[in-house]
Amino acid sequence: MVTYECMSDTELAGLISADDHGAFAEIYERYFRLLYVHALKKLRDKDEARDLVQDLFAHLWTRRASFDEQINISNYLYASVRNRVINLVAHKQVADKYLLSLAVDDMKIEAITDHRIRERQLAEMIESEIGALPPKMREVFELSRKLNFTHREIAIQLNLSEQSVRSHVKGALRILRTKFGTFINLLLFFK
Amino acid sequence: MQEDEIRQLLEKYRKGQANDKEVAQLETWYLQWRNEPFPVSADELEEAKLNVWENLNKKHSRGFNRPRWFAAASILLLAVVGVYYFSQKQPAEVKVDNKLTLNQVAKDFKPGGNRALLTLAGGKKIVLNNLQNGQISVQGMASVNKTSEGNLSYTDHADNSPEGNQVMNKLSTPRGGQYHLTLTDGTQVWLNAASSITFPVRFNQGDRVVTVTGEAYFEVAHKTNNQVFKVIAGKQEITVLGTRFNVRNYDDDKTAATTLLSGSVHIKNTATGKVAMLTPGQEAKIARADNNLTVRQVNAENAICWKLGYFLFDNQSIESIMRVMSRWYDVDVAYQGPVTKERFGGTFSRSANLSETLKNLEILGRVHFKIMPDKVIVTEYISPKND
Repeated sequence: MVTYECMSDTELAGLISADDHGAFAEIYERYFRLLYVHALKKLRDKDEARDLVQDLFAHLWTRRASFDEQINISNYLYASVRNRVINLVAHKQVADKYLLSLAVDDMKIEAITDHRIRERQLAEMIESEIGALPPKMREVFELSRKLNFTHREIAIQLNLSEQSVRSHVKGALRILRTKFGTFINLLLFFK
Repeated sequence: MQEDEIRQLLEKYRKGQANDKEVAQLETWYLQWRNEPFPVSADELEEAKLNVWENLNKKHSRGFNRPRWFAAASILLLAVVGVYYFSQKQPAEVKVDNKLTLNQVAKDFKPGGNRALLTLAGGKKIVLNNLQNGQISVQGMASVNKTSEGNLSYTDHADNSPEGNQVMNKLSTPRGGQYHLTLTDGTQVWLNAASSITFPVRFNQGDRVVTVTGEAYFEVAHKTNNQVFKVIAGKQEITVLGTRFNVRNYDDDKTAATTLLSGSVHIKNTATGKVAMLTPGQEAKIARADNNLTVRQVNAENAICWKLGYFLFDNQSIESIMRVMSRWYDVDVAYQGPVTKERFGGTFSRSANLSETLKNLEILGRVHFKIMPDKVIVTEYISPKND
């Protein structure tokens, strides 16, 4: 019995590179909302956000054969959405440089030179939207991607029902995320 | 970093001239720029999700057209006799909206046809599908002929000859196959998909005994000497004189059944020794789990609709329906996530492609199918609005 829902992103990526449509659909299911909400936040235009995410997924499918075995799908998708937004903004500001405000709260920000930290912060930012998403999607996302564990696996391990595993894990993740976020902020502070 | 600096960076980036440090600056800026959430409702989000998926689907589509199957669906729906809703809480509304999947374009599965394999007494196997009509073999005192497309006929050449050793042949259909067989005593057998019958090429003076797996419909010729005809199908031992009945005994079904259309049959549950006599319109069932034999009144013609070219489902789970699909379309079925507990019913053509039949099922309940190159995936249909 094949259940894409129970697979990790890495497993799905492997299947996608072998032309598996179902795996692609599952990745779409997991990430479309996050990426769209993010693009919308940056672009503030529904059509633009939709087109951008559509191109992104089309591109993902097109270049599936060249996936690295260790590809981190989420980081790949997050970086793609960022690069696409930056590109779009770059083109837009050529068209009308005064219409688009590029100002940020703290204009004195230093560049974060370590790309891994930027990567993590980007993931943080995009995934922080998770709270605004429908609960079902949230559960699937958190369990399958963040823990790389299936509901059933956790349930078997802890001898709990799948339902209670869901609520436990949800609580745990909330705490983890808070801590992780603080850690990142500290890193930046001491830089 | 001033706004102008960012503009310059963007310009460099656009031209592909930004160095690592500049990219880092830009990506850092990006983390802070426009961080206030942009309001979007759950409905809008789902709509965008379906919309984009549909567009992606179109890009990769090779001619699978939605409106076409919608039209076909509405015509076939006229034949639908009923939908049974089992669940209490969920509203019994019909969902016509479909979650599109890329897989719909992958492949379609054609319906089954006249396909079978004949195994002769010596073990020689003959594929009947592409064979010319005419004599295939002589087995003992009987000749074997392919009389027409999808029909195999045995003729006895020595009606009153002394008894010899019984020569056994076996006719089997694969998934996606069916075949019609005429035995030397004039008994006619229709084999459904993924089934087999083992039979003597000519009958001796004793009981006429055949063994069946899967599903078969019999029209047993009555012999003037009241020679009984016996069908052994798993735990069912069916004894008749001359009658019409359907026997079903698939290993993956929860029950085995014998349905009587005319005449009378005597059925014995060889696991428990329990026996029953059936009158026309009755069906005997043996549960695989506990070997319990029960008899009930049914519309017996429904049992042989497969022979007449259609599927008829009556208050059935999606799993039991998919077992039938699997056999006729020669396709594996996998389940993903929770599966609806609704009961389905209706009449569907056996000559339609799989996609068409599944679309019609989707309209009847909260079920969704993805056709993959090598299988069908069954999921619960989740309304985007309630997600």
